[in-house]
Amino acid sequence: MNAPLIWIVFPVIVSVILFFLSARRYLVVGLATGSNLFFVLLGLLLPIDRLIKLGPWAFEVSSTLMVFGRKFVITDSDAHLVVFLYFFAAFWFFGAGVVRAHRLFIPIGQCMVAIAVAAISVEPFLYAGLLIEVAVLLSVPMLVPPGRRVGQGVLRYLIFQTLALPFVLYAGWVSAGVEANPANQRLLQQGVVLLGLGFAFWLAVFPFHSWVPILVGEAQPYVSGFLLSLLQTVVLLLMLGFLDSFAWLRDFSVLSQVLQLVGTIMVASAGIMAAFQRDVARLFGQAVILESGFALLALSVPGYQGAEVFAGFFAGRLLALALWALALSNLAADGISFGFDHLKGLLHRLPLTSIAVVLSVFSIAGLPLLASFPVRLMLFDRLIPEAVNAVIWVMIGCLGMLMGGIRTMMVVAHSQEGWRFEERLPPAILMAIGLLGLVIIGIFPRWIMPYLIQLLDPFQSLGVLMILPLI
Amino acid sequence: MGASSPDLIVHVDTFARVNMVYEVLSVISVIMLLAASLAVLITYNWRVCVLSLAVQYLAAFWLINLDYPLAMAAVKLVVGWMVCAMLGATPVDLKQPDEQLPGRLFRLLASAMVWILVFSIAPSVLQWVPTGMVILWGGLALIGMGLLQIGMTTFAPRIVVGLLTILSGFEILYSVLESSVLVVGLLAIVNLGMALAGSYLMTVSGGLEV
Repeated sequence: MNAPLIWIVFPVIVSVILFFLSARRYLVVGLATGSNLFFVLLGLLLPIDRLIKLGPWAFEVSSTLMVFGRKFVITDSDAHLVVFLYFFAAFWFFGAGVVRAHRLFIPIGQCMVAIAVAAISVEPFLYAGLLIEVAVLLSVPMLVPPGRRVGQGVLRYLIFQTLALPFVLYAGWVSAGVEANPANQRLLQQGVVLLGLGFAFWLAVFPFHSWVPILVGEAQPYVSGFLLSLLQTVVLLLMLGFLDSFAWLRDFSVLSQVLQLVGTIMVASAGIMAAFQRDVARLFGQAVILESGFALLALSVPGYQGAEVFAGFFAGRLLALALWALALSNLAADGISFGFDHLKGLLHRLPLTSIAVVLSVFSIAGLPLLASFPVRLMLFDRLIPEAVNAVIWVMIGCLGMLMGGIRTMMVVAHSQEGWRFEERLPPAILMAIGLLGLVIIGIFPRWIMPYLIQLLDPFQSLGVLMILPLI
Repeated sequence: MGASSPDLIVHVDTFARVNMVYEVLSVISVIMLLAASLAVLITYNWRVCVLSLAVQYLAAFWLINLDYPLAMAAVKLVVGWMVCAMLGATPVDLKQPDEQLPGRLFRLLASAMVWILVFSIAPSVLQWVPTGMVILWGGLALIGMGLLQIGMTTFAPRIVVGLLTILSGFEILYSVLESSVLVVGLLAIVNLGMALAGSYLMTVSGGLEV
C-alpha cells in the first residue's frame, strides 16, 4: 500500500463509480461527500513511511508510487495539502446536492481533485503541467453539460489553459539546465520568462484574463466557482512549489518586483472593472482575478512572511467564493438572471441570498470584520515599507470592489414592495453557515491560521516551518 | 570479435551520410507540414480538414523520428491518427461564407506572413532550442499556423484543430529536449483528451458556429 494509491488512484476509481451512478443525485452527493471526508480522515490519521500496528497486523504506507520511472510522492508533510484539497471537495460536493448542480459535476469534479493531488505530488515538477491540462480537458463536459450551448468563455478558457502547457514544460527543461549551470544568465532569464508566461496563462494574469468573467457568466455558477477555486488554488500551490524547488528562482533579483507589479495591475484592474459591473456573475469573475492578484502580491514578499500571508488568503478566498457561487446558483435555480435589472428588490424576497452575495463581495474587498480583512492587513503591513505606490493602487482596487458591493447592495435593497420570504430552506441553511464562517474567520483569524500555515509544510526551502502567524 | 578501426570508420562515415541524407530529405516533411496546415486553415470541408490534419501528423512523425526512436515516434503518429478518427467521426458543417475567395486569399496571405516570420526567427530560436534547422522550421511553422487558426475564428471545431496543431508543433520541438516515456504518454493523453473534448463540444453545439 502507498499514499499516492490512497489519495490519487482510489479517488479516480470513486469518480468512475460516481459517473455510473450519476442518475441518482442524492446517492452520488452522499457517496462523494462521504468518500472525500474519509480521505480527509485518512490524511489526518495515517502516518506515512512508518510502521502501523493494528492488533496482530503491522503494515506500512509508503510515500512513493513509481510510474514509468517517475515518482508520485506524498509524504507526511504533504498530508495537510491533501487533507485541505479533499475537505474542499467534500464541502463543494455537499453543496452540489443543495443547489442541484448538473449530474456530471460531482464525478468529474472528483476526478479533477485526484488529478490536482497528482499534480502536486509528481516528481519532477514539470509533469504537473501535463496533469493540469488533463484536468482542464476533463472539465469541459462539466462546464458545457449536454443541452447547453458552447459559449466563448469555455473556448477561451480552453485556449488559454492549453497555451500554458508548452511554456511550463519548456520551462521545466530550462530549469533543469539552470540547476546544472547556475552561472548561465541567459538560460536563467529564459527560465523565468517561460515560467512567468506559463503561470500567467494559468492564473488568468492581465492581459490573459478576459475569459474569467465570460466563463462565470456562461456556465453554471456553482460549477465555474468550483473550477476556478480548485484550479487557481492548485496552480498557486505549484507556483509555491517551483519557488521552493529552485533556489535560482527565489534568488532572481527582479522576480519580487515583477510579481508585485503584475499582482498590483491585477488587483487594480479587477477592482476598477468591478466598480462598473452590472452583473453579479461577471463581478464574481473580477473577484477571482482580484484574489489571484493578491496571491501574487503575497508571493512578492520575500521569505516566510510572504508565504504565510499567501497561505492565510486561502480561507477567506475559498469561503467567500463558495458562498457567492452558492448564492448565484440559488438565483439561477429560481430563474433569476444575474444582471442588476433583474435583482431589484431581491433582498425582500431572498434576503439570505442577497446578503450572501453582498457580504462575499465585501469580504473579498477586505472589509473589516470579514474573513479576508486580517490577511489583507498583514499584506499591507509587509508591503508598505517597500512599496507604498503598489499599496495605493491595491487599495484603489479594493475600493473598486467595495464600490461593486455597495452598488449590488443598493440594487437588491431597492424595492417598493413588502417583505415576502421565498428562500428555500436547504440552501438558506448552508448560506447562513457560510455567512457565519465569514464573520468568525474575520473576527478570530487565529483559530484557523495555524492550520493554514501547515499547508506550507512541504515547502521547506521557503523557511516557513514552525513559524507562527503574526496576528 | 570487435570491428577493426578502418571498418569502424567506414561504418561511422556511412551512418553519418545516411543521417545527413535523411535530414536533407526531411525538408520534404516540412513542405508537407506547410501544405497540410495551409489546407487545414483554408478548407471549408470538414473531411478535407481532418485528412489534412492526418497528413500533418505524418509529417510531424517524420520530424520527431529524427530525435526519437521509431517506436516512440510511432506513438505520436498513431495518437495523431486516432485524434483524426475521433474528429472525423463527428459531423461538422464548417461555415461556408457567401464569398469564399476573399476569405481564403486573406488566410493564404496571413499564412505566407507566418511562414516568413518562422523562417526569419528560426536562427534566433536556435539559441533556445538547440536542434537542427529543419525541426525548428517544422515545429515553429505548426505553432504559427495553429495560433493563426485560433486567432481567426470563434468556431469550436476550428479552435480545437488549431490547438491540436499548436500541440503538434510543440511536440516536434520538445522531442529534441525530452524523451521520457511518461511525457510521451501524458502528451498522448492530452492529444486524445483534446480530440474528445473537441468532439464533445462539436456534438453539443451541433457543429454550428457559435
